[in-house]
Amino acid sequence: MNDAQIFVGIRVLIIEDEALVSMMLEEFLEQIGCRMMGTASRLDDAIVKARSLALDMALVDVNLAGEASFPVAEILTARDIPFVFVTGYGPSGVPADMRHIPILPKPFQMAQLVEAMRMAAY
Amino acid sequence: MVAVPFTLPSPTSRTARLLVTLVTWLAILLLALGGFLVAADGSIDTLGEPIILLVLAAASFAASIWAKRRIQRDIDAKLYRLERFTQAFGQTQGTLRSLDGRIVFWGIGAERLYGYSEKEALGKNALDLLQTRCPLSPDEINAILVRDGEWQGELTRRHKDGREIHIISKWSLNRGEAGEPEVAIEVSSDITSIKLAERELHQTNALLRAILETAPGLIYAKDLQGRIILANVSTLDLIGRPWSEVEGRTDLEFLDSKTQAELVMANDRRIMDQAKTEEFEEIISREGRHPRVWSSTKAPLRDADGKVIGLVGVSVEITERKRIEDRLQLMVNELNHRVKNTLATVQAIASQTLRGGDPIVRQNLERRLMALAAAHDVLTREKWEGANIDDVVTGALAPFGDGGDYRFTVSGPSLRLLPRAALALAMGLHELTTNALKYGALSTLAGQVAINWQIVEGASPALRLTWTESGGPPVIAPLRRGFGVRLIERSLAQDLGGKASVIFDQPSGIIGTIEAPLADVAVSAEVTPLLQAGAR
Repeated sequence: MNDAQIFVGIRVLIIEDEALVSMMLEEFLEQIGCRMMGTASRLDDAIVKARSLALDMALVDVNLAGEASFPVAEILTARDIPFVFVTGYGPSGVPADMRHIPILPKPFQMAQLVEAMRMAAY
Repeated sequence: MVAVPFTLPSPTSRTARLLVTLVTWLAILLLALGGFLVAADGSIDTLGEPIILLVLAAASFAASIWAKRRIQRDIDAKLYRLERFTQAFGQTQGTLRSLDGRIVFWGIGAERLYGYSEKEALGKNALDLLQTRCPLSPDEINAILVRDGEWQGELTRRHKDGREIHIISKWSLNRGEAGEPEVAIEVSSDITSIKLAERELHQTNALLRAILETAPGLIYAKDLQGRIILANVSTLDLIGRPWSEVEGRTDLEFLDSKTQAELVMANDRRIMDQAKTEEFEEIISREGRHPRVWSSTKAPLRDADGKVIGLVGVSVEITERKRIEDRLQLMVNELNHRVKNTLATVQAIASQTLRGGDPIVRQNLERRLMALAAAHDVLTREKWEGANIDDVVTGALAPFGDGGDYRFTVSGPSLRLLPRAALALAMGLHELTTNALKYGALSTLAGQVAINWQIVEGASPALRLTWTESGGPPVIAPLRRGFGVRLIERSLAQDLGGKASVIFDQPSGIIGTIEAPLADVAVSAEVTPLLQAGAR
């Protein structure tokens, strides 16, 4: 995991409504040395955490139990926190003004996660 | 030919006759006077007055005879001309009749028209003989003739052979010298064929009207300026105005949105300019209500010379269909999303379950799930209508292609695969690639893989795909066939309805063959796509 060294110690928020996927993301992130700042599976919780936590990066599931997570994306953008959309929809599931945000399509492997995070960071 | 000749001679002829009569009487007078003098004198020896008188009388007689002959010649010439004229008039289907209806002149034209000879017709009552049916009674027509001098109208008569004929007739009154009504001149034309064509046209119109009024959609026609020249009941109902308020007006006056009206009219204009029939969807919004969607077919309307003079259109409402399509599209999108999420969840479960176990096993499973997801992506893009074989092959090879695309040679004709075949092929190719990376040609730097497919023509055409490895190490058949090989040989064969085999014992890599009936794997041209109108 040499190429993932850059993510050691960064503070990450996971916003994902599927518990198992969320757990897998945590595991992946721990493997590359990230610090887990929290997880959110519902929009209201996600908004609170996106606003209040000290973060370097966020992974944002587009669909949170039927609700689109774009308000969270707006908060993160306003705070200048890089983030990745995690989604089962393709790029068409993202509004036009957010098409520049990297997308991690489900299902994904570690390598793709790292690649998406790298794109978000730069 | 003329039963009642015109009686009065011409004025010139009368003067000439008077002159002749005078000269004759003069000759007689001279003769009588000369005779009387001879008798009184008693001798004719001397050359006296009586002789002179007799000579004068003889000269007068000669002059009178000569004048009579001239008059006769004149009359003959006139009669000849009259005869010729009568014949000519007869050719024109003209007839003459007295005011009480008796036929007094009947030419060859009338004979041709009605079938009766002159002999059969003369003296008969025209109304009875020809079973004439007029819009007016004979007395009324006579009254008009006397008042206006002429009458024109359409009549129905019967030919001698019983056939009904339609006539357009012009009657004129000819008056005698004293101005009294003398005879009616009738000139007629047969308009039976026109009448029949008219009737046919009327029937066609009635049929057209019936179609217009019973067809469920909107039917309309517009002129070059976009003004409505025809609209059926459905169209009028939609506009909500009677025909009198619709005729000659444009969409600008009917549609709530001027922008839409201009759009519709510009589109109409283009169809008329290009003189080409087009089919398309039109969305018409209404104030305070949902917009309605119409499927319209519009064609240029041409005149008899083929010149475009407007357009005819048929529009059927498809609002409900569009709504269902949109919902279906939404559901398909949602389903695709769910499938991908489920795959991610399955992956997460596997990942957690195999935690601390063999990392190779975990990686194998992950990669297989990824291959399935990749094939799914191709199908999602194509709305599950099928996938191009090129896309499926490239999609399956993509995870292994980083910087090494040159290791694969892909060739074969373009072909649309059915969804099931696409998924099976993607999984099979994934296994072959994984195997080649571990044990086959791709385990060495120089190894290459050629993937080729072709259609084997025959009574039932088949798709044959071969996977040929080269430049790799010699391979030997494994003692126990692993999951990958079994997946290819069993699952692929089963899902494709054909046979698949992997040949080991090759000098430089394995050879895989997949053969399946084309009908079971390819999308046939007639198949109607599940979703025609996509979200985009």
